[in-house]
Amino acid sequence: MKEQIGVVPLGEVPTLAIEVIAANITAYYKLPADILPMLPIPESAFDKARLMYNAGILINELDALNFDGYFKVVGVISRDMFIPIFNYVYGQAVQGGSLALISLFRLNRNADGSTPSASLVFERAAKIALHELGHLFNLFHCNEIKCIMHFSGAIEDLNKIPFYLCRDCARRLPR
Amino acid sequence: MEPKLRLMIVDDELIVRESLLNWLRKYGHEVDTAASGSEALEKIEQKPFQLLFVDIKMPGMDGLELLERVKKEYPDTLVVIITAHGSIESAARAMRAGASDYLMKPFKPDQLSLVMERIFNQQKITSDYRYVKGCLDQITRFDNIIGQSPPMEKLYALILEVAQSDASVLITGETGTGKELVAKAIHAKSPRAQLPFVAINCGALPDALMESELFGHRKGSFTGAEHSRKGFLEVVSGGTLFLDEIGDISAKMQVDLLRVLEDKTIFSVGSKTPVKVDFRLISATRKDLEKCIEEGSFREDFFYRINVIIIHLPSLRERKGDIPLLVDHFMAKYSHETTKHVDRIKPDALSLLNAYNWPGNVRELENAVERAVVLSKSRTLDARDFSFLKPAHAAPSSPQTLKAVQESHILRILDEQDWQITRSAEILGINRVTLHKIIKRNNFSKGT
Repeated sequence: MKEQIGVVPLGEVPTLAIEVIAANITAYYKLPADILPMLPIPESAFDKARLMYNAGILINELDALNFDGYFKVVGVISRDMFIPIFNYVYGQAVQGGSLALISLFRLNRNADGSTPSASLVFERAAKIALHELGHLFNLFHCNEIKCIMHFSGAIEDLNKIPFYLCRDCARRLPR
Repeated sequence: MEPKLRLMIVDDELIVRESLLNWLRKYGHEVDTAASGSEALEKIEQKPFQLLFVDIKMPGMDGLELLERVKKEYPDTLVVIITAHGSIESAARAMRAGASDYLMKPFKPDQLSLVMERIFNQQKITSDYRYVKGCLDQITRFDNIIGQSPPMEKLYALILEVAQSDASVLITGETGTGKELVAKAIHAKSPRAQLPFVAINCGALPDALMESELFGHRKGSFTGAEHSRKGFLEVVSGGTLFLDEIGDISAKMQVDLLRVLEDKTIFSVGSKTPVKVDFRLISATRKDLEKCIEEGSFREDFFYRINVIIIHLPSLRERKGDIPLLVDHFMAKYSHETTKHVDRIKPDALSLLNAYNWPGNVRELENAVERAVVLSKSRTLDARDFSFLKPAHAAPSSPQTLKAVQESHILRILDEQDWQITRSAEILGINRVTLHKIIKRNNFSKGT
């Protein structure tokens, strides 16, 4: 894999979060990751009943844009996201697709309601980005708890998983 | 690694189908969707699904009705009901109707994970059950012979008894009743089980070739014998020799074999050196050998040599109770071989199979199931899939002349024997030339 990955902020997103995500993509997938200029949040994705952004519509809107030279793009948003069947999602990606999206909204709180340190928030954001990027590389959810592709439904689960892929998933990664 | 399942999402809302499909695919499952209950049933009819996610509120057939039909017709398929917030009563009804779990939408991602985990546990219990059932199925099978009817139970007991002795066995029975399987079972249960089992179809070999096959030959003993070769009687050394269609061997071969059975010594073709042989003989025939003795085509002394113990195999007509068991076995066998999912048979098809005469016995049934599985477009076989089977000839409603009865009988035998003239003539007790003349005189042809 020699291709370039793009990391694009949607609306206002802490610059440091974007930098941490890009650095981790390069560190763990050994791929160059560029930080792209900020894009406005597509308001068509806003659901007035749920007061959240529909991740499916956001991905479709991003898909309509031109990201020439980037074969996978990870969008980062500070707002809360959902997909119709779920109350919320931390991230969303189409299996084997080219676009993934992650939300920082729910990472700013611990399970007990306390506020985590900024470094822990960025760590969580990077893990979600690496997980969703795994789906773009057609990796499935993994049963191995010591794998970034292990599904984390709750914030405390996210804290437990590592940044890296387990040996099986690493082997399945396209070369 | 969790097992990958074949799932279906049944919901009239496209957006729900798509988002759930996208999510479940991330687990590597094979996921399909249906927009209505009837579409879902059509798809289940085509191939099995282990798990359905069913929305309770759908136009037409609602989720509860679909659940009830699935549980009635495909009890192995698990159903998770998806219900809108506030309809807890219908969720409770669904659980009573056999749903494995329910989800109230929208739900948290980890709730779905939890449900999936419970489903995997249920799947594991089901697969453990299947393993145990498979062990029980073995009890209804005896070395690949399938049946649990009283004649088969007697046969199994006889095989075990016979296997312990070293006496020659003659297996009789109609074509397709499984004579070779019984011979193999006797060998497998005998003290010779670790040694070779050699089967020869005497009906398929001309006399000269049979002699060379059984006794072997020395290099140059006849034209074309470029190398010396050991015969099966020597190769089988210590094992079991199975001679199928022994009623078809020539008088000379009967004498030669009789000598071997008496002396346990052979001379290969072109050799004068005796070779000691040790084998157990099992023979089989579909012919009435006693009648052949009367007619002079089979030697009485040879008959008594090969017929120390006689095992008669029941025809399929005599054990129709085994048909469902056999059909299940052949469906599984050919579904596996053809990688098609055909695992069910409708009662109308079973009645048709029960009503049929099965002149070709289990072999004909196996061929019929194979053909039906190969051509079936759904996972369930019905009567139409067996329409190629001709129903048993019904008694005529009006009085018939002797000539008409004779003609219809000849035609029936020809059809049953697939127009094999030699075999049909043999069954009818006339010679081949006479049968040809009758066919020509009456303008009989296949399908008349």
